[in-house]
Amino acid sequence: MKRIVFLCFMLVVALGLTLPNLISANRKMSRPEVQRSSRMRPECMVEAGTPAMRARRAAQETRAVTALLPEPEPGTAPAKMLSAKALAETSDNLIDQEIFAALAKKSIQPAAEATDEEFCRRVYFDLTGKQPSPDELTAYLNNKDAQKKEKLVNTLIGSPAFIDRWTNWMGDLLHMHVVDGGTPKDRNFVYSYLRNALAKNKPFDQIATDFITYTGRADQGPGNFLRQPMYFALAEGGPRQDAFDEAAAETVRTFLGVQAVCISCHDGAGHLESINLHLAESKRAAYWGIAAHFAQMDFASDDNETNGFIFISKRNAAGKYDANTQDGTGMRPGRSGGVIQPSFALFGGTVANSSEDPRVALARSITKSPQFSRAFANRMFAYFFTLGLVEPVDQFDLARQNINNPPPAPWDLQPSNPVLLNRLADFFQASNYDMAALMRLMVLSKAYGLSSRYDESKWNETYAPLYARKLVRRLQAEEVFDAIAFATEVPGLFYAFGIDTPFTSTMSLPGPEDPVYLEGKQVPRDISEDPYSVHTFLDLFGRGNRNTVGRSNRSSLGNALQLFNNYDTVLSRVYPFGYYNVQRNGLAVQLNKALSTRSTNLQSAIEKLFLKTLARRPTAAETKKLKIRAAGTQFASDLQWALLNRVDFLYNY
Amino acid sequence: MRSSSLARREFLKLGAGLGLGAVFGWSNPAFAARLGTRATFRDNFLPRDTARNCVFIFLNGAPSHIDTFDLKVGRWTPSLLGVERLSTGIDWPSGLLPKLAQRTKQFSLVRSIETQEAAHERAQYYLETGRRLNPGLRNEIPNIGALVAFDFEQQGRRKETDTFPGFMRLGATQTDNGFLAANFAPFGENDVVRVTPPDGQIAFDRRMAILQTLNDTRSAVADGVRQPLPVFQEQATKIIKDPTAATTFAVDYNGAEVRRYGGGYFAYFLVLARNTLKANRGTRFIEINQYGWDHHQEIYTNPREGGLQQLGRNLDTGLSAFIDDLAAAPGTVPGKSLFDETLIVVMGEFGRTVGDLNRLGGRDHYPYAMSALLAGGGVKGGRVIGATDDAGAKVKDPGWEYKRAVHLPDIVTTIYSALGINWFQVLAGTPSGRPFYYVDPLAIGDERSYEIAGLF
Repeated sequence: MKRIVFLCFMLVVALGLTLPNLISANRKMSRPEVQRSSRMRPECMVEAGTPAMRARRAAQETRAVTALLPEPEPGTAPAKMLSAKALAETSDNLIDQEIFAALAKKSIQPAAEATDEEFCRRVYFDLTGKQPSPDELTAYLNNKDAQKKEKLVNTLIGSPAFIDRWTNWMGDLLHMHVVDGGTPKDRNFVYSYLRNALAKNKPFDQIATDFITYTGRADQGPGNFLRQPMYFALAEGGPRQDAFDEAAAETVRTFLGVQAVCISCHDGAGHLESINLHLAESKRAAYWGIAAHFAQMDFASDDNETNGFIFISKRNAAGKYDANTQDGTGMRPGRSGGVIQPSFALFGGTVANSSEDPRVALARSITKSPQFSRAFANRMFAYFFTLGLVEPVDQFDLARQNINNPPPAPWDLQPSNPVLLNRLADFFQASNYDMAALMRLMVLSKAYGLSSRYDESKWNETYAPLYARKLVRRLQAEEVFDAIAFATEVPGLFYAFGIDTPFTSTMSLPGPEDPVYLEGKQVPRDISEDPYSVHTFLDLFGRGNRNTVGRSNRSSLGNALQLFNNYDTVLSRVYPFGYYNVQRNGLAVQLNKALSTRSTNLQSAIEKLFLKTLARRPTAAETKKLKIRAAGTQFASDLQWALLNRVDFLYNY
Repeated sequence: MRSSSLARREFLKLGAGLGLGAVFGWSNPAFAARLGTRATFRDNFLPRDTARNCVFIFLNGAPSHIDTFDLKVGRWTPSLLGVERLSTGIDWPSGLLPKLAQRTKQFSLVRSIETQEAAHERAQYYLETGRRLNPGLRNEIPNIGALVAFDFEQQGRRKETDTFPGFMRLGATQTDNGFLAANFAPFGENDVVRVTPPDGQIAFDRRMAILQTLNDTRSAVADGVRQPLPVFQEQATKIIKDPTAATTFAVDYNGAEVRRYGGGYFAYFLVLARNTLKANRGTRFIEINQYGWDHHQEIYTNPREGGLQQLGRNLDTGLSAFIDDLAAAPGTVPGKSLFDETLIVVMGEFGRTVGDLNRLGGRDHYPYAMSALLAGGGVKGGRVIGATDDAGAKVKDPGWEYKRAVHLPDIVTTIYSALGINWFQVLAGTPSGRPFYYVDPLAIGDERSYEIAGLF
């Protein structure tokens, strides 16, 4: 197999030596060039870098993973390779039309279609956060219905596991965690709200509006979202203006995909010229116009709870944003300029009508804005296709979006496929912000259904942001844990903070505080494990805390060590070791016994383990190799351990 | 240690054309003017390169500086502090920190530090990264430990035998490797316990053989020639199979070594750190947390776990044993000990209020004066940099040639310099698009940062 070429790391040393044309301070701003270091080592990758680097990294990870996938069975017909042009012209899916048109323009051959087996596992994970059971997979493979893809997708969307998965996803987006000083009741309300919303496929603009405008007790409505940023500001002992600024930052980042917080401290000029054109031309006063929409929010707390207090927001119609603070108070430089009217001018809107609650006006301005639709469509695209059309997904530059008014050189339009992003945004808006419709559009596109494998001799780095092949993603923390539990048949039982009844998957847990010890509730050792151990495992796989530490799905040394040697989560599920002196009797342990008593044979045991762990059948070559290697009384355990350490376990490919 | 000719080359590169202001289109006349006088910066440009490791002991919660490293005696001083003037001339709470008192010739103090943050989250972030918290950049800014690991790697200072990750973190931190590659992610107490296969190496090898069989995707199984595992599995396997790993990380929490260091998690962390450094397998920066210094109440009288006495005792016993063991261990250069090659920095995130106690019998957050203890890695012992006024309320004598107090970016600069790291470097490739400076030139207005040369 070809060696994989790693990305070379680019180093800028801040010297006139490398930037001779930028010495003059009066010169018009241009993007700083980067200089390759004289010492470049493959290990020195910058992981979460610029959009181009993120694309390259995603492609490299894809190549590394697919290099380890089994070779196709000898004798299987090679997958048909359709031309990009043909795919663009014959599909009625707008994603296909645009992706394949872009590939055709550059004469790039798309990957072949993924096999049924690959597609089934992929879409189950992406839509429901868990793999198909062996029966579900077999049923799909044996199904001869030409519409089986559509029917599968329709079954998965709205299913209980779907609701678990997407509540988790929306929870990452919408601060579903216990806020500092707060009670789990607030968080748990958000949990039930989101589950309900997903079950009913509530339009996303209504969800956004609910979160932005809610007034009242946070255990009776989605007040948590604004609570955290405002708490963060006020905890510093700062002025209320800081709290309004933070609320605005979080709202704009979440719903418009713009990281505007920079200009809450200073005008964009002199700071952002090489980072964000729109914000570079924007003023702090315009940011205050957004923040002023929150100035009629008064907050109180109900201190009668045993676990922190409940946030209560009220409307104070006389509340104003007074740009009048001193340097040194709170987190931001002093403000001047007097009372600021709520205004959406920063994003092309106008001053709010003073007769209504300004937060209602803000929610309307946001949800009516095309950027609202673009931002969400991009987030969802980044999820299903591993790489957003704008990356990172909350770094939109509004001065670089308009195809008819492109930015000045050397800038280019920000989206890697501007036409596609526009069409996705239009689609989402026209559908009345129907999340399920957007998901359907994405997973039923041929582009989504491409293989992640590619003839590496024909692959080029420049293909990376063009989706010529499906890009892999590492499973997220909850998927990994739940998949281990499922594969080993040691399912787990988990308690959540503030909820009496236990949960049966980590994906269904409300927040990053979970699982917890609950007084008087012990999890049975034969089917589950210490909550602290589960918690640590999830954290080490990058779950984050939905607040200061974002989720990370990067694979790491820590991941490798956990899957190799973690006793509680992995080894005691796979081997007949005791767990607190309790026998767990997982699938592999049962198979060891069955093999030794000859009530099953190697072939059958191998197939069973592959189907349960990797959601695919073993190839003939794999089976042959394993039969040769099979030895000892623990072979089924050894094999399942190996499968749990395979790339086709840890990744969705 | 790098050759002087390399250092000279570095100087020449650094001296030429500092277009910093131009890069950002920011023509602050004061900044531009200062950059013009290059000659004065000559000595401060060259990394000192006296250490190859750094251990950063974070006194989490922020200790009272006037009861520890910057002792001020007054009517509030309880007898438990045990005021003593040491042979080095330093006033020291020998009742609280007796063992360190005996080692006064091995460490130095910086008493003229101030910070700009008085809230834990922001102040700790400042300490971890050397820059002020910008929520918009939170995901990408790495911990200084990750940057150290990164720099060692990309300067070619990491060897084939260096199997352990460069950045170790014991206890939690807010920051990890940020936008840097996952190779530089912190390696912590939850990872080291996963190094030794619970059922032994033979069992591990047995199941690994099955994995290798599956990963060999060529149709013919050719023994001895195998596909590499994914990168992190390769790394993990190297550590697991490294014979020093088992002894390095197998520290008995309840064993004699941990007891000698004072017992408890902090002692456990120190023993792990010592072992890791002695193993010499590529770990260069170790951050260790000691929690509980946030003494808003009952600072002198809290009899429970976590009072000043208890924490002081743990710090004193642990740090003393740590210094002793490092001093007794050989370094990589003949004639040098591991202590000589390891810079130890001990500090909290700010100081505490001075004078009489608050109404809860404690001390509150105080950013205007704080102290640090530094030892090893080229630091000469028995020195005191700077002084505060009689109350310990503000910096009176900065203790160096720059007419201002020492700030946290200066501490970071000192660490990089000691480790031989060019702290003027700037990296491209962040998600935000902003260049990333090793030492943020804009952390405090447009103030430049310097190393504390007087320590060396």
